[in-house]
Amino acid sequence: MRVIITGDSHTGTLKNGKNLILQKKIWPPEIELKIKALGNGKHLNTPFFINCGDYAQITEKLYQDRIKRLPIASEPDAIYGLCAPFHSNRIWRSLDWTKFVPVALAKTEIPVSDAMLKQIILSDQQYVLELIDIFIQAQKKIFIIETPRPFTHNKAFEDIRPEVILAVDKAYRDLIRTELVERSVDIVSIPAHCIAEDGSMSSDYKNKRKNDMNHGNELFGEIMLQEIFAFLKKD
Amino acid sequence: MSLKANNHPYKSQPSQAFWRNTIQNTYALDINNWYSKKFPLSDKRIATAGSCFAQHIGRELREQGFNYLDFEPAPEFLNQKIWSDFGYGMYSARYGNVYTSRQLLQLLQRALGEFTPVESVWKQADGYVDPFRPTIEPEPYPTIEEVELSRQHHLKSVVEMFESTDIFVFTLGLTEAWLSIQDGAVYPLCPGTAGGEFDNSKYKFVNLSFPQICADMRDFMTRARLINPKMRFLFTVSPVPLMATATKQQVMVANTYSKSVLRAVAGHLADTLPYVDYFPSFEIISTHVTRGQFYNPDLRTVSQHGVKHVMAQFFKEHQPPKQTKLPVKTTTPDDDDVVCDEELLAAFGDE
Repeated sequence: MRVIITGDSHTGTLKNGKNLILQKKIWPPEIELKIKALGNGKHLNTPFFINCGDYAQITEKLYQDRIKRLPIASEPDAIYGLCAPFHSNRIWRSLDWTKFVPVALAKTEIPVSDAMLKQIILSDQQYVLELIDIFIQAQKKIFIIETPRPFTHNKAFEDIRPEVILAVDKAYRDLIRTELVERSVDIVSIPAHCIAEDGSMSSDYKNKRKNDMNHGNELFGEIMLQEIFAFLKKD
Repeated sequence: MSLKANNHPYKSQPSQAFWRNTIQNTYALDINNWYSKKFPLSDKRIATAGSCFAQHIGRELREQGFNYLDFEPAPEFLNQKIWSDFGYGMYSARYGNVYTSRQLLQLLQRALGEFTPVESVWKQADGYVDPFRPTIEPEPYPTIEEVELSRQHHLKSVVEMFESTDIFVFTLGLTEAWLSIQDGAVYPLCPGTAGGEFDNSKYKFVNLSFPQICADMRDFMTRARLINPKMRFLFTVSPVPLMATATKQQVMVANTYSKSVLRAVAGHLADTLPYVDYFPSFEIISTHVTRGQFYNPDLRTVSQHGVKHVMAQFFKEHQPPKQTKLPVKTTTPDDDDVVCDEELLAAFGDE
């Protein structure tokens, strides 16, 4: 079984997890898995490719160096795993969430309706969802890998009410999950034990680099790869 | 008695007063002297409202660097392409289109808490809308409380806007309106078209007359100047014809009546009040001298070319402020974006 994982910077965490599994010599022999990042997720909400029908020609310069097109031409039979649709951080870290809040949490702030929040999220993910549709159109197998929930040591938590960040993140994940289910695209979710009671990431999986309040550590990478293995074996 | 040509008032009229000089022998796009300003806008704080054509005026003023006010700006995380779906970036607050003089007056009264309409929500599909801006969001609010919460914030912003505005630009759009029989509340749209349910016993049609519109506008300006005594007003009449009439007349006939009344009111107020000016965007776009060239093929909506031409006439009188060249904005990458690059570099190196 040949698997290619691609997407945003959280693929780096998976790569670190892969190294850990290889060191432990517990890699499942039946799975041949390659991790090839597109790049920084900040470009995923821009038109980073041209839709060529059954493939996406990558046009974002910073991604082109790594991947020219998806699905990759030389990998016609691979199963693809994509880290990208759950990149909620782009939205919830905005300091405008100190002035605006989801309507259910509004005190004195400006209420953001559910309809508006939905459009904010869909607008943020429109190109990634289009990319997934290309895979479906091309009849290529694709599954989605959930990326970390917000870590509460992220500096956004100092300025924005934590319940606002967590509500936006939850709305984001719920909506994207619905979109993926509608497309019959499988999701490898973060296991429950990695998530704190309030919906944030458990601090056990904080990145080693002190300034990184966004990515999981290699242990989290290993856990997610084990989840991927379980999904692939079941599938 | 001498047959010599007498001196008469037309002798001293300028060239622009004569049809042959100004219109007949002039290429349509070269027709000049449409407008002469009554007061400057330059550094003044400007707010806009009105029928849909006012959106173009607001956008052009903002783009040309005027001190254009927006008291309900869109959040940065809302894609600009869908701002207007949520009533952002259209006017100086999220009131949507304000078509009639009565609607404008009541907007101010509602914002000041002087008028609380009995009917405060309309049912729409599975949710509720604000009857006074029923299309401000593409989907109805799920609860009445959300309508109220959104409206509270909006009306607070409207008061702040009037407190801060030096020049209020308003485009008069319609004379036809639907109102509540119970308390006279005027709706921007007929009940039943974008929420609510039409009921003859609850709502009635009114085609506002010249005296009614004049009275509304005077009342509005008096109240606005109580908040902000130095406020001045710039009126225009929308060149966009009625989409439909509720009168028994053919739509073009009804439109001509409606626009004629609005034009007459705007002219009358500008002629009689020192703090009111009138800009003839209506004449530039819709009269036969420009041969209908500024309309889109539907002969109703105004083309971008038309908007540009109108605003070019406006900016001849109101020169855009000299825009000081802003220093080139260096984008500081967000910390989370920086760590994304670091994560990739650490994991993949030069791969």
